[in-house]
Amino acid sequence: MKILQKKICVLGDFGVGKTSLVGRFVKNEFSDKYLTTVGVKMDTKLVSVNDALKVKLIIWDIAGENSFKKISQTYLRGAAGFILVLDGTRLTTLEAALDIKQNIIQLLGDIPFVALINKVDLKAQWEIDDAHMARLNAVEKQLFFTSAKTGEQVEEAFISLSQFLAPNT
Amino acid sequence: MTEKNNEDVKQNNTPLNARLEQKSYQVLKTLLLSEEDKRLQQLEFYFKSPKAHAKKIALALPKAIRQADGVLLRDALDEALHDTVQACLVESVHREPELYVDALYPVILPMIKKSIAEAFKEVMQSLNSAIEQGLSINRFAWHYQAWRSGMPYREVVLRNTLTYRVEQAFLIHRETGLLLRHVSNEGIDELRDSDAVSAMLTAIQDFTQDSFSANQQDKLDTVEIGDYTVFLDRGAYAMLACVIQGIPPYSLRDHFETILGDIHQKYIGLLTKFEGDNEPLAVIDSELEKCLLSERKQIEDKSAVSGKYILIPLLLIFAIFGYWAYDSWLFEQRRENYLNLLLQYQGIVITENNYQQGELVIKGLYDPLIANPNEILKNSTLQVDEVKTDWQAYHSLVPAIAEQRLKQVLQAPPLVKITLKETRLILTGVADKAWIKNLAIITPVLTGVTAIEYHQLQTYPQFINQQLETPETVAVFFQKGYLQLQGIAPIAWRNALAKKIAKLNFITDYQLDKLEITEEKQRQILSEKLEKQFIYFIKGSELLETQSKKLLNLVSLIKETNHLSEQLEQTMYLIITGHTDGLNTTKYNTALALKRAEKIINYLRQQAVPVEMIIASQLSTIRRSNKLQRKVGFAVIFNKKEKK
Repeated sequence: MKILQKKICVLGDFGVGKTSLVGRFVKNEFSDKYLTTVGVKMDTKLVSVNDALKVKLIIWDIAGENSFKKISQTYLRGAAGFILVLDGTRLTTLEAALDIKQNIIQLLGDIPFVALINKVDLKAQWEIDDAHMARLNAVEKQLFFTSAKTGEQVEEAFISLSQFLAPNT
Repeated sequence: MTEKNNEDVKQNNTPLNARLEQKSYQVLKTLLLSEEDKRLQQLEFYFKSPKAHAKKIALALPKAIRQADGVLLRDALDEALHDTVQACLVESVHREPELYVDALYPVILPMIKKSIAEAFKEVMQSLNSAIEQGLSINRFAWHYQAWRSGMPYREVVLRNTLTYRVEQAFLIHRETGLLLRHVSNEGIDELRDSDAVSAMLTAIQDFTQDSFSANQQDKLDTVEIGDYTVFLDRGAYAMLACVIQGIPPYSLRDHFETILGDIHQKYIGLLTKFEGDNEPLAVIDSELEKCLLSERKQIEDKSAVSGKYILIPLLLIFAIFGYWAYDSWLFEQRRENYLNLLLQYQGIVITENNYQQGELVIKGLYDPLIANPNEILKNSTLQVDEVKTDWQAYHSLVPAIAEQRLKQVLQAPPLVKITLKETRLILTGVADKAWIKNLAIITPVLTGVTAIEYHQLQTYPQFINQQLETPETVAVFFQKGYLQLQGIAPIAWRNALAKKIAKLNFITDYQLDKLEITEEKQRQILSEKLEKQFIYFIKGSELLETQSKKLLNLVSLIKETNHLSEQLEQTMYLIITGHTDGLNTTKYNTALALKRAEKIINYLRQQAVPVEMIIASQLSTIRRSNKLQRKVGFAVIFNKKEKK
């Protein structure tokens, strides 16, 4: 059994529920206070991709800012993939996500990502519709409607990203 | 066109026109190769003209160097240029040092700043430690160590306080912050998630750099958390983070840098290829483990050695002191033994008992009559040469001793008791008459005696009379242990005599032959009287009328005699003999005699006479009637009673 370590970043606008989503996925190892002081919080999770390979995700949960420019770019360095988090109830978070995605492609190249439209438990209040989502340019396996509250689709999203990160052999 | 010309040349090629042919060839050559010739001439010019040649090489050289990127080519180039470049540099620096100073200034200044800052930090560390340890017992050991080794005290303190232990080492991928390898010291709990720690360390240093410094060269290199220090060092591909407990010396940083450099040099291929799989990097662990140093152990060894150096003289001093104390104690025990022996004698007075110039001196007075202190010393555990003594003889007036002395002077017999009441000598007990007589002459000469009182003194006969309770009928003769008693005394007193004499141990021999027993004397008188008694008969076995009173006297006489015999512890036998006259036949007379005796016996038995009685007969040889022969007579025999 081979284990690959991969650094991934969790990004998204302020208040979209990044930390809650990661908390859902992993057992918290670090207190949230790091997030407020250093602006990043670390978690790790071992994900089985197939019988022969596991991916150990080193999850950098980076504090959300309104603008990508304010995110410490050094934190993104060396990331193998990223998770883009949006809040379905706020259309502005889509703009922020697109901005982030575009900047990452410029900075790190076309690395794998998954987009998580969060707060699916409040679907009725969603402002983001299918037309908006199309702008994310995400295929089926890259787009998840999640709920940090219920845990819906969270694990699937992380596993999907892990599969993207695994080398094609 | 060209092919046609060639054919023409071949057709006109005749030996007759060789010269023309030669010329034509030259023309052809010029026509065909003029372009190449021109280039050849140009090349020749370049090679032959250094200026032109150099111009061309100058254009090609940077490209050539840049293209020498293979390891072998690079090495060859390095080697080729090494000496020249070095010589150039030396020459250049020598010629124009200012130029290099200006050029290196931006590099050197931060280095110097950093170096000075670290030196200051080290001094501060040592100062803090010195203050912290300043009042501890370690200080004395360190002062000793400094004195012994000739090192400055400050340095000794520094060496002793720089105890540390590198507990963990993280090798972190610089680009991604992923953990390449992690090793930890024995007994260190594995971290819950070293991968997350690795990432967090990367994030923290990024954060500090972004937050506090605009300069890309400034990096976080130390993190301090309580007792722990984390040293961070960076290489091209990996960062080394070492977690140290205690106070790490700054030299440790150099050590880590060397290790990180070695790792980069040896495993550069693995590091560049890293894409998340750290298993192939396990080979680095052995290198990484070199980081896990600990200085505490060395210090313990050193202190153990220095401890030994302190301990040996200390033990020696202790042993010497102990021996001295023990020896002194033993000497005191011997001194006490001698003094205790001396104190047992009343006639010895100790006037001085102390040490003079380290020597024990005992001085005093002694009464030669009692004991000689020098003789006592020989019997004590104290050795003669261990003490200086000075004893003066004197006559003690302590009553017991004075009495003893008087006894000696007076040559008093053992039964004389001497008591001294102040200056009055009182003599009691028993002594010879001659000795008592002599007292009056001796007394005035006696020391400390003003009067003598000896009326209570007894002579030996007086004392013996008193002790034996001698009856007045007995006279006592005593001379030189020999006792003789004369006179008469009751048997009871006589029997108790031996025991009484034995108690008087001054009597060595005694003679009692001349001592008669009162009871024996009386019995003799009575038995003589009894044997003179006769009871007379009329005729045959008939008593005379007058005999009845006589018989009563007889009974009391026998009883009295028997009583005395009992007292003398003797059995009395009464022989009763019947007598007859010679008128009748012997046979008849014998029977008659026995009959008469029996009659008396029967009478005596009736009177309860408690004596053994024996019948006997005696016949008269004179054949005539004689009334005085018609009688019964008595005799007594005494025998010692057999003890049952």
